[in-house]
Amino acid sequence: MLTLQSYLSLAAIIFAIGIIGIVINRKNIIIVMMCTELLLISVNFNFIAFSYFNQDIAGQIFVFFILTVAAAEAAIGLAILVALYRNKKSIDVQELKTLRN
Amino acid sequence: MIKEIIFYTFSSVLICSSLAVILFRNPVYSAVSLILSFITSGFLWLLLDAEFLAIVLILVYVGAVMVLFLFVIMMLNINNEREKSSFNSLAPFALFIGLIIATELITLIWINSSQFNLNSEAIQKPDQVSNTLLLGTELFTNYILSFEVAGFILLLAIIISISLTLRARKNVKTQVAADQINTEPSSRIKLVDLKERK
Amino acid sequence: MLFNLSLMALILPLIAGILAGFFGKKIGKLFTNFVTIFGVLVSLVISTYLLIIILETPSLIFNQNVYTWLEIGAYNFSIGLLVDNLTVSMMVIVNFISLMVHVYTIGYMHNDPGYHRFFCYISLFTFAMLSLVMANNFLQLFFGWEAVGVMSYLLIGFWYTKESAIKANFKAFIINRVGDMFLILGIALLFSLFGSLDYEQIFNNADSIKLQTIMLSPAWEVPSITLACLLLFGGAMGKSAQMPLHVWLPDSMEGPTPISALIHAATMVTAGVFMLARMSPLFELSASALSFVLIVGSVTAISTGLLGLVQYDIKRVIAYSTLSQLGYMVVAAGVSAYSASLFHLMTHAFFKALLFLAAGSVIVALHHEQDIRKMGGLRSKLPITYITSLIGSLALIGFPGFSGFFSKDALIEAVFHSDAYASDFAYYCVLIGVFVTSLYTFRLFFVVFHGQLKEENKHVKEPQLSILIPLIFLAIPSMLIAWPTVGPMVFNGFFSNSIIQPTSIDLFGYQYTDSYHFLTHSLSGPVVYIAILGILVTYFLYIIKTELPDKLAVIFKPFYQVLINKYYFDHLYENIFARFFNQLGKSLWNIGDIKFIDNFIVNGTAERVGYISNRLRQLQSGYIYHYALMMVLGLSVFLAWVVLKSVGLMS
Repeated sequence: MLTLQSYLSLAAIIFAIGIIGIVINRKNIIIVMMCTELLLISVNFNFIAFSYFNQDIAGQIFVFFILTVAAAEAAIGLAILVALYRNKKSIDVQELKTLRN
Repeated sequence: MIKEIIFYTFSSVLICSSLAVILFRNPVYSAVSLILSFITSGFLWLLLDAEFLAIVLILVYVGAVMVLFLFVIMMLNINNEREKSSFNSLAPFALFIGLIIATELITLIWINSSQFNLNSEAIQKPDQVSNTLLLGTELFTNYILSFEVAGFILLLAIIISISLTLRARKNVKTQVAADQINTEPSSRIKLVDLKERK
Repeated sequence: MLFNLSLMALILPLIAGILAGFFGKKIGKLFTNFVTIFGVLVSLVISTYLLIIILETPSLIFNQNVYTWLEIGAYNFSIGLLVDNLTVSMMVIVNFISLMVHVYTIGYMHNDPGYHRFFCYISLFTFAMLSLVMANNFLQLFFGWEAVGVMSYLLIGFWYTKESAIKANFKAFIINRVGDMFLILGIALLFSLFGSLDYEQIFNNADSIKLQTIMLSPAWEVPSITLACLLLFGGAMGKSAQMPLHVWLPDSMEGPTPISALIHAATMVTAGVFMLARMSPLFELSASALSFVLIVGSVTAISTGLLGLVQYDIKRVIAYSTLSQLGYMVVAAGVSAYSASLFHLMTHAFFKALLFLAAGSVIVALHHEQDIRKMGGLRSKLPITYITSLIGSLALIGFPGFSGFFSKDALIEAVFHSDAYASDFAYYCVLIGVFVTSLYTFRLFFVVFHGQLKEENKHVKEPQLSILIPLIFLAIPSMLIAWPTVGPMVFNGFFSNSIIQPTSIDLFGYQYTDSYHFLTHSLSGPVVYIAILGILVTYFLYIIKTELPDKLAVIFKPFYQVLINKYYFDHLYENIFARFFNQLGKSLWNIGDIKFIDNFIVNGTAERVGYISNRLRQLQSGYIYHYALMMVLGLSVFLAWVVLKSVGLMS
């Protein structure tokens, strides 16, 4: 039987995967951005599930805005990445430590 | 019954592809896995009667954002150093923390489950009203301001992206109006007194 | 009027001392001499006047407070004067001896750079001793007690550049302190029992708590009075140098001879005996305390006397003699014959001071030579010193007719007739002690004044008049004072207003009529003969067969060794106690102070802060995923809290 808990648990799992991805990543920054997208999608899941089960459309409205903002954020993030690449010629995560100590 | 089958199938695919996002070495493979997760989650949203948003997800996210991702991945020369392990030293710890978070969230959900509406079958849905209509009605009446702001945010995103990445061609002869106005006559004209030649 | 007079007698030496101390050096020797001698002389005159008045009207005593020092709730601490027979006798003794010593010092310390300081100190000492004897409550007694201890410390270490003097004065002060600890405990106990420190209140109410007991431990109950008396006696042990706290007195001979005469013969060391007599109402209620006093006194009397036999320093012999005689006084107190004890105190003050000053005269004449092996045959060169020493020595051993004889004999009679717990043991101790006394006294006398005159001493001559006059003035009482005073003081209740003791019949088993008959009565006892035997033996050993003492030393080598090492008491104190406390102090300093406080707490805190901040700095690794992890970590903690809260395990 599909209950709200199932959807919410699924969203929680995706959220956790996203977090793990951010932290254990060693390859490059793009992965971080992709994991951010994963986080956002799990939150959207939550909203839509609640909207369905509470018969309130407000949840979907909010998802709408989240989608918008997420798209904008992805674009800007990639632009920053490109600028970073131009300066450092590398997008390795390990090299981004000028703020060290 | 059907719903359960669909749900469990798609949710397992979703989880697997999410894992694939973080586990693949090749960033292109990760991006493609992410596309798969988006599509699957779109299907799941369909189960939840959110048709408009499901389609929008696929159109916007997959069609625009992920394409952009792939652009950038291809454009930047990413060297995969295969000899290095792709997981850093924090891996076990992070795994542990992640598991803890997932467990806690799920526990919270199940603990507070008495506060939710449990039965999805009993929920009434207004007939013949599509999801799009509902969404549109809400959006343009109660949330019109946020709608405008969302548009503005998109504009902002455009401007920022361009301004960050624009590289002017060097040695382009354009007119810089500010410099033109601010010149001194003395830097353009020099009066020379020439003696008359006889 | 009398009260004001007594107050003046108390304060004058203080003022004199202060004046001499501050202005003496500037103004000059004559000023110092004049001021201090004037102070003590006037005090003596007043004391004698008070004595005469008290003799006329024996019931005249007054006990008056000068001012209230401290008032806490119901408790009242004040400074006051109690002048009765006991006080006045002590005052006269103290002032007289002090005056003699003042005059003596003019000559003795003539060339010493600390001349004015010395006069200041001995005047201050006189003030302290007077405040001790004139006290009417324990607080003032304690003040006087400590003050004389301080003055003794200052005076023993008078030549403070000499290392042995510094060591000696530390020793004296510290051992005194040990005694004082007991005294403080005793005073505190009395305060808690009676609620007041006044003599009058305590003595009047002493009977009522006769049966009270104190639990020292859950299984051990002692009568409170016994405990208090024992503690008070502990203080007396320190001040009056009873065994085992006797070790400071011989070493205190490092100080100049005048103070050995004043402090360590006549006055300070007798403060303990004075206190015993003053506290007689309390001691009479506790037979066990008295027995303890008896045992300690008799052990001291005999063992220190034996030590005097093997000493080579002229002053040390006399010091051990003082220790022994103090033991006698304490023994007398132990059998409840306080009057005999006080009488012996008085006579002892005279002849012991005389002996010390005579020794000082010899030392000065021989240019500060103190080893008796370098002396001999000095009777022809120092006639007055010789005669006065002879008088003093005869008085000391109790030769019939001299003052010491009466006091010693009364004392020994009292011990004989007592049936206190250890009185048999004490009797044998004091009897043997008489023999030992005459042994060491006349050993000293014969070695110094008889025998061969050594080459280097052929040119000595008598010291100046200011040294000889006190000797003469002290020799006269040593001979004569006992005759008129033994009756009233010992037998006829001169002190009956001040002390409580059994009647003379019970105590001495003898009905006193007059001093002449007392003398003839004593001739029937063994004491006189033992004393004379001692003289004869010494004469034999040191005049006739002078090589015999050395042979005896070799034959009885183990005993000799023990005696030379003073029963290893010094060894015990120095190596075990002192070393232990030294180590404790050092380790406390090293570990407690340096390691713990300085290094661990002060420096350590700074180091910890640095260390922690260093580590914290490394948290800023610059890696974003580190930061992300931290955020997530915080999130998980928060979630955990929420989960636990909703489960109900935590609030």
